[in-house]
Amino acid sequence: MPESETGVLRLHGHDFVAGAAEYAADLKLPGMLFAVVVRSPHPSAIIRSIDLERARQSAGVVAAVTGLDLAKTVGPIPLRYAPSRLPAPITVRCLAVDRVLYTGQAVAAVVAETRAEAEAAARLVLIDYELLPAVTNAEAALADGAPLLYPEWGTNVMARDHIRVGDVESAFSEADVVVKGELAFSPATSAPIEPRAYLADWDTKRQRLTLHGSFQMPHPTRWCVAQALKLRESQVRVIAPNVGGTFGLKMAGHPEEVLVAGLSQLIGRPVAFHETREECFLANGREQRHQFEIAARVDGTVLAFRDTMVADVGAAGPGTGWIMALVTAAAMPTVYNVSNCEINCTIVATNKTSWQGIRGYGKEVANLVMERALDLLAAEIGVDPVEIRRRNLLQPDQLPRRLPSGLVIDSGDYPAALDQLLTFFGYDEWRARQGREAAEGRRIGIGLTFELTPEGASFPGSLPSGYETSTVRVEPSGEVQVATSVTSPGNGNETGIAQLVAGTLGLSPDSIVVIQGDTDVTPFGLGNASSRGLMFGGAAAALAARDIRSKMAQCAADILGAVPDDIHFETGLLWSTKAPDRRLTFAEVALTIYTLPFSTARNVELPLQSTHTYMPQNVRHVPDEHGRTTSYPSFPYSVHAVALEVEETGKIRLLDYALVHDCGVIVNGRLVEGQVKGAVVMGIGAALWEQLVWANGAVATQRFKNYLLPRAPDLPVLRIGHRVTPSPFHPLGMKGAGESGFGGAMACVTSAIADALGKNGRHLTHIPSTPERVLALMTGDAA
Amino acid sequence: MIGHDIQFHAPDTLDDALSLLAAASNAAVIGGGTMLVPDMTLARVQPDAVIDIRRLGLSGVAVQGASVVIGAATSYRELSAAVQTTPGLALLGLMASQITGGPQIRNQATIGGAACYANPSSDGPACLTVLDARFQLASTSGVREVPAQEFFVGAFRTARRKDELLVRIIIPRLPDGTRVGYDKLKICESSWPIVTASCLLIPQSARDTVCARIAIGAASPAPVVLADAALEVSAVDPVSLGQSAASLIGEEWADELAGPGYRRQVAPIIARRAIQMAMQGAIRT
Repeated sequence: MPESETGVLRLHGHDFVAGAAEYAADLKLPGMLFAVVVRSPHPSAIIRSIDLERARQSAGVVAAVTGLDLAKTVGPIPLRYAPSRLPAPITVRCLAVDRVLYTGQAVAAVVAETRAEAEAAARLVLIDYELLPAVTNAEAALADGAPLLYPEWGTNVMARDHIRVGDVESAFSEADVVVKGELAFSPATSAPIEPRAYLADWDTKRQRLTLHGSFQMPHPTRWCVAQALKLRESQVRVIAPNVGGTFGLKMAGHPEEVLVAGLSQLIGRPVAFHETREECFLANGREQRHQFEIAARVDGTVLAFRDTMVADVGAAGPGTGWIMALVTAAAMPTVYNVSNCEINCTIVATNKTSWQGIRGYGKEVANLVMERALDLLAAEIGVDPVEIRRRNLLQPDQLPRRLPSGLVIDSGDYPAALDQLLTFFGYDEWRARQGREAAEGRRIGIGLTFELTPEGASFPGSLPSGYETSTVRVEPSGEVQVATSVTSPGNGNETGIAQLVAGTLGLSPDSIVVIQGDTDVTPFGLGNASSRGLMFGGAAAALAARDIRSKMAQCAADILGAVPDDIHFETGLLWSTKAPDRRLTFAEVALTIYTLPFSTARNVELPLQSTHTYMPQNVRHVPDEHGRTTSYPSFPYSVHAVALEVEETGKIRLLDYALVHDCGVIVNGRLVEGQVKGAVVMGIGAALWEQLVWANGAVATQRFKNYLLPRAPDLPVLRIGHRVTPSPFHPLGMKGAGESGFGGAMACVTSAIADALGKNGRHLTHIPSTPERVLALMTGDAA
Repeated sequence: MIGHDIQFHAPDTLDDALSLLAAASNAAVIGGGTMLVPDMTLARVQPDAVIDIRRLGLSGVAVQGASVVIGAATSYRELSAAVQTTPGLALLGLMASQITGGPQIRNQATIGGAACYANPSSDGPACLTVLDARFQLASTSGVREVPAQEFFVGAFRTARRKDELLVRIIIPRLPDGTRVGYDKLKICESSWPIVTASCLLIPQSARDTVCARIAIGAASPAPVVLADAALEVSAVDPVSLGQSAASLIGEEWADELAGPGYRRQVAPIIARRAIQMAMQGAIRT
């Protein structure tokens, strides 16, 4: 097992803070042009005509195209999920043809020498629409006689899932108490600092496309673009420079990925697309309603849980954002021991922009719903909310444990984490303080919630599904390079990968070169999603590094007249236990292998390069006896506590926050803490302030003055405790740490607000808990 | 990125600026530009000409007789700094130091720009209203002064004509010992103001009597002000006074951050807090 260092500073960190790091929008190529997209102002319409004449005459314009124009050379965008998941196949093009299905849909593109000229010309495009009736919420889309987005479907229901385990009806009828609840979630977005940017460069002479951009998934994008442009994959190279955050938003499947490529091919010059912040706000997710019931004995032991959920996922696109609704159902009932469960999930298409991936990927909703159900149950029967959780937690010896959806929780110690947090947070002290302050008229609320975060998504039929590959190579100079299929969204995972390889080879992490995000150089894989960076890519690199170590140990043994098992690798040196004074440098050994393989490395297979693919255990795509599969191998978890004050205006002030987090074995503590803090802050924002407001299918909140993100003064110090329960299924014991914290924070803050409101908290049914909603609860107006 | 062509002027004299304004059909005046530049970038406004007033000597604060005169181009930072040396600025200094956006915004944005922009969801207009400010507007036809309650006409609308430039804001000096309070409600740190309240407790000639002035901002298209109730100090009841002030809200302002009903409901609370702060007397003009 490689040694891990928890305190290594992020490699190349200085470049980022000094403004020296290059992002996609920084790239410049000779002859570069800018594309601006003309978007539909209507949620549902027929395109009667598009007049590009004035745009074409505008200064600096090189080309202007409609969907029909582009369809001559650019085919539909392949779907990133199995088309059989839909009621009937759909065709999605990068520019709409004939029909628009949502406000913001790309309808035409203008390409000019400068961005300003392209924007000016875009305003001159005249489009005649025939408005059609639109369905802009799930209720309308499900109503009898509702206009259909896809007539071939015969319905606006895009997909369903019905999960059932145990005997739910009997459990409900036998229960001492049944509590009902509901939760509605406003749509939200992930708002990365860097909006999307692409630069397509079609080389007419070589008949080759190089596509640079802020891609989470270079290889899948390459596959999509090659198909759409009817090119061989070998004619397409996708390169992702540094990415400035994504949280799911930059997953493959955006129309503009294909659009810029098609435009560059048409024009024969590089074409760039830089998304504006307003366009970035078109990405949305999470809008859904849940109606749930929880059945229990009078002592709080949960007997059954039932949830009916309806998710409004917008129009069907090529991306996999909508699948988040299925993941919500799959994660229930999270960390609790509930043998009788039924989850009914309906996914509805509406005339709004398509769901894009958003951190939490549906799991945050599942956690919030479960925690809310338990809080309501606790209030109903008068049991302490901590006790009701303790009573129902899965015990360590009950894991691995199959969830109703088929997912198998790997390992964890929930009761111990709970005890650790209660002490760490000072739960009893906060409850005492809550009582004292209540006497003075201050409403303090305390929340305590669990979060189960399935990670490592490996869906059947998705390209790719559940593997990542890393190649470790030692150059003759002794330099070590790692080329890996996982990419970084800006989270520093290259540092963790470098640590794993360096640890195995006895080198320092800053001497390892990690190459990511170039389809000509890096192996095929998904890229960045579902916390696979270190868990999959790092594991593959560690396995490859072990091979290299083994080869070099053989060679060193030959040189030193020792046995390979006796060879140490430390601080760039190799030596044998038997003769520790004779030390070879790593570089010497490398060069020896390359130059004297016939004498000193007889059993070493050249080159000094190893490629390994990591495929997780605990994934099963062949249905089990219940007809279910499992796509998530790993289950980090966390338990959260918050103390907050509800002011008389309904405004929430956070007072204290603590969590205990278990993501299995940690490679770099700094990186993990950064991820956890970021996830918690996002969860707080989602619980309190972040909501996209729609007006007739159009996003009304497109700036940070009305889509409110948390700022430092809003937050208390986040106190993070750790546990390590290694994953029994992972060679290094890792579980992934990209999303943990979001769902727990969202649930915890919500729980605390309801706690502060006492009886009125019963009626908390909408997330986020804005001051307006909280005030209505306080004054009883929400009943 | 600003997507349309503009003529940029930075005149050296007030007369030049006024001539430009008179001649232009679609001009914008730029002070700090913290609202104008984003508006132009988002193509919400598309002026043909932009007139920069930085060379006109319109920043600075001075006492002139019974008034405090504030140049229209005075930044929030300058206002805060002037509190130490210029009487009568305590309320404006308090407000200025709480402007969202940190030093970047406070160094650049101007009190005159805020007044002319008349954004309901902002701090400036209600403060200037409670201070009984007069707005000195100049044009090629002359100079006129407009009192605050006539200046702030509605949401993003003032009495300023297109050809007029706001030159100065004139505030009558308040008696020594006037107590000041200011409170505002935001959803969270990045939010704009949802409701603001400014309170002055002005000593009267009769002992233990004050005149209370309370202005509520951001709850309606233009600020509302409760004025000139001469009260015994002991009779100042923050709760009922706050409710009285809030009851003056006619048409309520609503937006994506808070819908109809909310501002009206919380305005009495914010007004009460401003009054309580003034009663504590920690800040006096």
